[in-house]
Amino acid sequence: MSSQHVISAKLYTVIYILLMVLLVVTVGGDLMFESAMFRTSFALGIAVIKALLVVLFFMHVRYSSRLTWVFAGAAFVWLFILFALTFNDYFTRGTAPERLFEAPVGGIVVRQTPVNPEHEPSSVMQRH
Amino acid sequence: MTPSQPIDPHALDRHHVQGLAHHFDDMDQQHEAATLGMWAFLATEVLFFGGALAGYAVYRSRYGDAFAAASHHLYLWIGVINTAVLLTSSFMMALAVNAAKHGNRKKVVTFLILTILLGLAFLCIKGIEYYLDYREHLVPGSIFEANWHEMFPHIDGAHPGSMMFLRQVQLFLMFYYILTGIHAVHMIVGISVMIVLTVKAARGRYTAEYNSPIDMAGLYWHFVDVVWIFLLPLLYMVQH
Repeated sequence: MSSQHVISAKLYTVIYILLMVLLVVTVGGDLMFESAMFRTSFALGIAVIKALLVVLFFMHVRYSSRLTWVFAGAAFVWLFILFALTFNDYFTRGTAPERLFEAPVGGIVVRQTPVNPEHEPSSVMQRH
Repeated sequence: MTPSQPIDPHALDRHHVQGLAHHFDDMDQQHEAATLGMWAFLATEVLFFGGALAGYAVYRSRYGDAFAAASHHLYLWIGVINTAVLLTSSFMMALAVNAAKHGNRKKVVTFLILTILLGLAFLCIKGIEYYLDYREHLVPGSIFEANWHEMFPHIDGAHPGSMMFLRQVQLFLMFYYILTGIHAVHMIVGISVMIVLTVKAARGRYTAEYNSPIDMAGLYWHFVDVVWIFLLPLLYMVQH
C-alpha cells in the first residue's frame, strides 16, 4: 500500500447524498423564488458548492499535495482572468451594436419588403 | 557473482515493481507526476469550456430577454434527470477508484462498468432530448425560421426589433448545442477510456500499489461532471 490517501467509500456516499440534495434544492429554488435575479444567483451559487464538493472529494484535491492545489487553482485563476478582462472590455467600451443581433441605434426603418433584395446584405431572417 | 556470468537487468533494478516506470523513484513520485499532468490538462479543459462560457455570458448579459425566452422552451426535467444520472456515474467512478486503492479487482471492474453504463444512459437521454428539441423546431437556421411562429406566436416578425429578438433566440440555441455537444464529446472520450481500463482491470493489470490510470480517468470523469453542474443552471434555468 502506498502512502496515497484513500478516501473511504462512506465519505464518498455522504458527498454523493449531499450532491443529490443540492440538485433537488436547485430545482426547488428555481420553482419557488420570485425574483429572477435571486434565482440566477441561487442556482449558480449551488452549482459552485456542488463543483467544490466534486473537486475537493471526488477528485480528492483536499487530500492531495500542495503542488496539486497550485495546478488545480491555476486553472481557475486563468478562468477568472478570462472572464474579468472580457467583461472589463464589454462593460466599459460602449461598443457599437452588433449588426447581426441588434437593431441599429437611432431610428429603425420599418418596411414590409426590401427595396432591392439583390443589394440587401445577406442575413438569416431576411431570407425567410 | 563471477564476471563470466550474464547480468540479469532486473537484479540491478532495485525498485522493479509492476507498473513503475524506470524514470521514477517510487510509486508515490509516479502517482504525483501523473496527477500534476492530469491537472495541467484539466486546466486547459477549464479554459476550453471557459472560452465558450465567457461568450455565452457576454451575450446573455446583453440579450437576457431572448435567452430566457429560449431557455423556457428547453426540457428542464430532462436536464435535471441527466444531472442525477451523471452525479451517480461520478459516484460509481469514485467507488471504482476506492476499490482500486484496496486492490479489489472484482469491485473495480463492477464499478467501472456501472460508470460506463450510466455515462451511456446520459448520452441516450441527451439524444432523446435533442430529438424532442428538433421536433419542436428548436434548431437555429432554416428550421427555426420556418417555424418560429409556433414557439413565439406573439412576435411580429416584420418588425426589425422582433427580427433581432428571433436571431438572439437562435444565438442561445447555438450556445445550447455547442456547449452540450462538446460536453457530450467529452463523455464519449471518457467512456472510451474507461472501456479500455475495464478490460485491463479485468486482466489484473492494476494492483493496490499501481492504479494511477484508474485514478486519472476518475479525475477526467469528475471534471466532465463539474462542467455539466454549471451547464444545468446556465442553459435550463435562464431568468430575466
